[in-house]
Amino acid sequence: MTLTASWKRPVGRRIVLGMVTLGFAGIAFGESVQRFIGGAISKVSPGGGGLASLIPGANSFRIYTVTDSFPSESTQDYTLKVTGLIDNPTTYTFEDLVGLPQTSLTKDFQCVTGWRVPNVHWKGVLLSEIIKRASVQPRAQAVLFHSFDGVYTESLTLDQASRNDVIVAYEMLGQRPISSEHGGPVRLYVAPMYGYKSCKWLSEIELSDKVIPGYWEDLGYDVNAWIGRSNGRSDAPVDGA
Amino acid sequence: MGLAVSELELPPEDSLGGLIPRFDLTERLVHWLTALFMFTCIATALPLYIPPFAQLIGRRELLVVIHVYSGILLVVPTLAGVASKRWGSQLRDDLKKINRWDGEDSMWFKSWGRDPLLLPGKFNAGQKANSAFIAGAILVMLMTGVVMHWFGPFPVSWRTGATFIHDLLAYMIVVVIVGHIGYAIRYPATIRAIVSGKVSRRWASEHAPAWVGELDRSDQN
Repeated sequence: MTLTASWKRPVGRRIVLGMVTLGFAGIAFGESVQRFIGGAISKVSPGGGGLASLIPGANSFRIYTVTDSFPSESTQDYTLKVTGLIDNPTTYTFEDLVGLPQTSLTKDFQCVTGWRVPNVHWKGVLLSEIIKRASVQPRAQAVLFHSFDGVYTESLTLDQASRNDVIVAYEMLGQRPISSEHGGPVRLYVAPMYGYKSCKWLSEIELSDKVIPGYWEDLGYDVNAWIGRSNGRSDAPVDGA
Repeated sequence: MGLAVSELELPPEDSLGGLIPRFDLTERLVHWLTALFMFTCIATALPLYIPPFAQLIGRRELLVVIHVYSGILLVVPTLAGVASKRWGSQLRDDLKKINRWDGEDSMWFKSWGRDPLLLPGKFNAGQKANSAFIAGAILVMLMTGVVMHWFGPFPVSWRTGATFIHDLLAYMIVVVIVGHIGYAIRYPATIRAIVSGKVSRRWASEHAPAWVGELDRSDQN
């Protein structure tokens, strides 16, 4: 057995230790590598859908839901209720919403867990337009959002809700209605805040006298979720091309 | 080099007392528990990572819990086996064999094991590389997974870096495991070895001749 065993080295241990070292380096510096790869893939596949979503480092959506299954509603059955401290309670159908003045935005979607999809195309109605039509009572200070998944909730102050980059979206990534996995047929898009503010499967907008922390905020995320200025993160603003 | 002698002493048939022990009960338990946790990790990773599966299966919260805890459990069988004074001695010996590489192993890679002049020991270089890769991969997946799941104490950029490494390495692990299973199917004696613990002396003489020589010498001592 000594014929070929002229040398013996602990190569197995070196492989393991080498991988662990690379793993630490990847944790510490992987973000810049990811940004480079993500940027390159985004040029080829904007929005990171389809096969691009399978490439590690691609800037693609990760599909989250907090319930056991994905809620789904057709555009025929879909309704959006506007309730609470208003003089003019309304129920919109999908067609009603599409008939309101339209707003298009092309802006990034930034998740608080770190992933970001650049230059997503959104289309919908300004939230402020819907609030204006509801005739808000003076006591109202906040807007609460309910999802037809039956669990998820979010909220904004009335000032935040009046911004011109906060929309009730019915089109996203060129798809109308928005697909079920992305929160369709209608979802909220709060451009200046982390993704958990952009309530998916939106079913009710409720005017309230105070902000009520939403689903993830009860679990520790910041209520005022400004991108780059909350949750201990320093992400760049989301203004897209 | 008692090798040529042992080859001459080969019984003509496998059945003629021709089975020799390759893996003891501890090693087989370590292998199959690791396989079980690895399979659970991969099966739960699919709907966590791939949108159409996510939509089909849902139950993300539950999947996350199963994924995270089977990932942590992945390191337990090996550590417990190695730590056991009473049951772990053969596992420790085999890990030493897997760790140590010699000229034979670099020759193995030149022909991917086809060179007829190769005389591998209990583990050939491919098996050694597979074990070392999976061991390293389990540790890196554990590190990156901890940063992803319990991100609170870490700088925020780490979560992105860890996610990237976790995704990338997941693909490599799947490729290596598919290769591992493919080779096992191609050499069914290896499946019997990791199930029953035994291989035929004939198979061992062909695929791990230096190991058979080593066994015979220790029998004589």
